Amino acid sequence: MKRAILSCIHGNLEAFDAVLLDLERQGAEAIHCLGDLVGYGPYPNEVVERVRSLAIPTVQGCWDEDIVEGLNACECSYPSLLAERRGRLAHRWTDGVLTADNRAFLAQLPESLAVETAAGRLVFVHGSPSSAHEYLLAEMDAFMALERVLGAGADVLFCGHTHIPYARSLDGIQLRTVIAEAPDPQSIPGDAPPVDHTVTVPVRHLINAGSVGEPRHGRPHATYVLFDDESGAVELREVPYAVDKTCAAILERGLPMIFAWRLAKGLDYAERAEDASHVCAR
Amino acid sequence: MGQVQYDPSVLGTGLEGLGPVVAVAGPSGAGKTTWIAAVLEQLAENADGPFRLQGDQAAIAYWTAGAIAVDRTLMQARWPTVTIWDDRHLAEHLLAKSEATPRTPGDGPTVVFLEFGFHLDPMASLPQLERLGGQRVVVLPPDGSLGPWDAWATAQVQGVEMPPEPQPPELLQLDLTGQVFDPLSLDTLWQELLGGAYGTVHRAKAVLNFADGEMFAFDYRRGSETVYRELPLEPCRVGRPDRPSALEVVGQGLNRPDLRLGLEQSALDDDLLMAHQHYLQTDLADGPRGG
Repeated sequence: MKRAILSCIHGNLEAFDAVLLDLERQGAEAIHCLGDLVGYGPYPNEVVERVRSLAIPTVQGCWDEDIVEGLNACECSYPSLLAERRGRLAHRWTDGVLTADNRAFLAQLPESLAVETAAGRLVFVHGSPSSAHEYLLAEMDAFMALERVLGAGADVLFCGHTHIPYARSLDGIQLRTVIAEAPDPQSIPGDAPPVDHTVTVPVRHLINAGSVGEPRHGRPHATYVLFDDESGAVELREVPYAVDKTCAAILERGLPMIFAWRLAKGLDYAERAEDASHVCAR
Repeated sequence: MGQVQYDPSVLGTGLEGLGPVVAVAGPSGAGKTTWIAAVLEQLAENADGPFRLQGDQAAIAYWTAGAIAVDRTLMQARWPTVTIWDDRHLAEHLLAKSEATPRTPGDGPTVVFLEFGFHLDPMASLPQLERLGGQRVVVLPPDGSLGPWDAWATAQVQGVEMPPEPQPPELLQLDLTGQVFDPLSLDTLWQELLGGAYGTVHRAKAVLNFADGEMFAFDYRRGSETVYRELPLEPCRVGRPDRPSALEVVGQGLNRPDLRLGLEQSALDDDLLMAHQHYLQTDLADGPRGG
């Protein structure tokens, strides 16, 4: 089955509709959403309602969580004071327009989803299995990446949150343990040799779906992933859409002009992960 | 700084023949301030000369128009012995005089440099400048024409090469005195500014205070990279600095409200500033830590 995995729509209805059209043309039979339906973009209610109407299995993103519970981001989210203030402004705006019904929908979203397939166990999270606010960057340490995948019990872990798509195979990883066994009281000290054991970890995959509504790869086009759960084939899709319409809506609906400018440039609105070694404090 | 050089023969006189007024004009970014700085460098080398830049008494005065002027702050930082005039000083000490300022050491500045911004009409000042005497220098890019300065200038200096401007530029000036900025925020905002987020920018310069107490100058010309330099001033690590701070932008379609909002969002509020300065004081008091 060909599955479409999308993430980080951020109230960008134009981009979302363009992706829905594209994935249909590509023959996707199932859709999974990795959260962040709202935040920064001008159509949070419309995006939530579209997801609900299509009954897309969705996990709760960091923005979805913050809208429900209040802002509580780790220091890893904002690279500067300016970014933090812009982020808070976007949060206040979104909080002010989101309907109670849509807020309730976001509140009941799960932290993760899983499905068993021919390609193995697929697990879907927003940030990482540990936290919706944790970034799994493409360049993060391989062992840390593997730990996140294994910790989720996944053969393939799908994540979002970074807004930059990638597909990473964790292959050829060996784990070696050397255990100096406690000596038998009856035996001569130093008699028992250490236990040296090496395990070759079967290949695992870590796939980031990028962002539909707020791409950060330097181009304004929406990104998502197609995954064939029989062959294991992965395709990173980039979909152009009418960015100018979203930019116009940003201005019309009272969001900062700079959001429109940064969206058109394929830049982050405010949040950006920079340190692959940072471990989220949440 | 640029390609501007001071050549005494341009003025038809040596250093001793300079003044009493040296008026400098030209298009934005041509190198007017750079030329004045080059002249001051020459005067500083001549420490025993009549202008005594290194002495107790300021023999040189500098003026540029407007209540907000980045160049005044830069001049003050680089040349502490140069008297910086604002519009009030100009009116009181120069324009009110009907004759040339006496060139007697000890009786006010010996030479006054007047830098006219691109947005000022040079001809409006011509009658007074002719009465006062001295030189009227226009700084032009290599392919520039005298144009409005033809009837005004007594000397022409070749300045910095500049891309052509399709329309008459606008000037945006913001007084940022007392503001203290977060460096990472300002870096983002500056990239947005030069990237066209707040209008098309041909020239941008600023003198800004940062959270660690230092003051930096930013200098951007279209087609070049921004030049950053720390100003040789005492760091301000207690309270808000009262030294002048400003941003000047020349371009088209400049968006003052959104740029001002971005600057506000990049600045530390009172609580943040106090906390940061407390941290700095503590860190400085603890001294360097061993490894």
